[in-house]
Amino acid sequence: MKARKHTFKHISILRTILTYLVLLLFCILVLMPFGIILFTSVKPLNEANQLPFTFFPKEFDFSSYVEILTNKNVWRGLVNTLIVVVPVMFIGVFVSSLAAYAFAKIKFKGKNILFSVLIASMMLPGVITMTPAYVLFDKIGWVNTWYPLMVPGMFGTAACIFFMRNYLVKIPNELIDAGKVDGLSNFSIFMRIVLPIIKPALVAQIILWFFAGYNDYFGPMIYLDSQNIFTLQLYLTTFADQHVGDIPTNMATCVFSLIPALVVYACAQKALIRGISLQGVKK
Amino acid sequence: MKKGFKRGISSKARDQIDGLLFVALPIIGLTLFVGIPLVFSLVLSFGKLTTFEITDITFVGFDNYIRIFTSDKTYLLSILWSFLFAIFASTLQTGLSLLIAFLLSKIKSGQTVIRIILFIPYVCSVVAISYVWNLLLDKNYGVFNDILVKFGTSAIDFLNDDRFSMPIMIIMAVWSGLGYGTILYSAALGGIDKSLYESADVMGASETQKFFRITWQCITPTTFYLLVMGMISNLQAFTNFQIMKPSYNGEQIETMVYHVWWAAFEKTDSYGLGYASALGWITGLIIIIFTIVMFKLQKKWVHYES
Repeated sequence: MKARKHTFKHISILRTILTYLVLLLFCILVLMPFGIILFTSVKPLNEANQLPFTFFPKEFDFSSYVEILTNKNVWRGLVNTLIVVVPVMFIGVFVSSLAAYAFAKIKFKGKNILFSVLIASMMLPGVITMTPAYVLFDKIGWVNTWYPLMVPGMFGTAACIFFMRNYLVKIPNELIDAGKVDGLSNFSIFMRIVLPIIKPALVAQIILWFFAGYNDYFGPMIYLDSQNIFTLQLYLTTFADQHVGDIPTNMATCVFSLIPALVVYACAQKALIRGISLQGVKK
Repeated sequence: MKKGFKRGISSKARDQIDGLLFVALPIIGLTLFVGIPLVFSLVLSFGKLTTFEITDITFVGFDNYIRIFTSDKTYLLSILWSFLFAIFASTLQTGLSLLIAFLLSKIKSGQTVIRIILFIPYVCSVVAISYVWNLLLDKNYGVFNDILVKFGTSAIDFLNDDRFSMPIMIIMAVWSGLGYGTILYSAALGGIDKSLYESADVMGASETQKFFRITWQCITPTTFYLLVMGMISNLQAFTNFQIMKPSYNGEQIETMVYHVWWAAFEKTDSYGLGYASALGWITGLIIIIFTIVMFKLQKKWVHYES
């Protein structure tokens, strides 16, 4: 009996070790490419260009970083991206939340129809409207400007409204009624009572929006022609075309473009992961 | 009492106005940026337009649609490629995420760190990731070939090798999507009622039985959500294919969206915007129909708690 208990214990320890090993393997697989680009970006050109492959550089060469950090277009790309993304993400999430609040907590005629239309639009693949949207934006002179990338987002998105509504319906009505008793208008109730409560969900949505905008390539590629208004992702491809074969410099550009996203992720991972966990749970 | 009643009416009217006001912007946005292009797209799809000037359009009836199904082999092939890519990428993403989340639920410490690490690729741009993988896969100096050469095999041009080009694209997609699925599954696993396992223990159920009878049943909504979302987004793959240019049989592998973009913007003078709009509609309808089928089938295997 005692011996059997012992084997059980051994098996469970073995199992734990095995579990950790498998998880560790996945972590290594995910991190490895990042390690490779980081170390490749500080290799001298001839070392990056040859086999056998070296993980750690034999010799460090930071000239590719000097080239990037002194390249005006790279910085301009970063600034352009932030201009295009940051204001719109706040406006878009705010507008979406206000609409979500109306859909979740205010009684008004037409609510169900409008909400159904919004949900149905989420099913619509963007590929259908891609070509005609371009022609229409071209007609009003918006091609080769930031407007097609910024303006639609300011009206909120169906996905964001849907998510926020799911979150808002869980707020007890008593809180909102209390605001009404105090004579607050619907908008004041939203600003003073609802917004503070839904802060975690708001933060998650804003961060997700940031990543979507910051990493967007398709939109800028279609709409932007002049290099001075390129976003960072778009400039990345131009830069790579100009530096074919210069692997360290290309990798350094990738590192440069990843840093802002990773910094935001590092600062906000808790809120982000919590926000995503909420996404899947639908009642 | 009377006062309260009166206030009730006015607040009802106020609710009606405020409700409409609050949802006005998204509804206007939807009309302007989805509704109008949608109708316009349908009109365009019946015309020939090989410039970006709308007035150049000539209406050709169903010609574009007929051309898609009779003479655009690349597009028909792109449907197959897109589904091959999406089915494998989505199921592997979902399956591996479940495995990782399940293993994570068995360990006592380190879950958060592991989850944070696995999620990193998700926040990185597809552009940067594509360049990184291009480097890893390079025929002349990539790390994979380095390993192969060390084992005595000759170097492989992965993205231009029929055996590897598509699987590589799938592996890359799985690699970037693991963290997202893991987080959703972790949340779902954490939400399972513990008493279910306790009563299973009392009945002497094995680990395998517990997994398939309890765990799997409880997380079917998450599995469904991940599969549907994965299919919808992977069926619209574009950037990774445009940058990495994998090829099969000497021809670049095109996805459906890639082909639409190519017809509209790369070959405007020979295919044009009318044709691309028709392609867009067919592609959109394929995805919508597939989504509806998935929703219909969910009744057979997805269990929502009531």
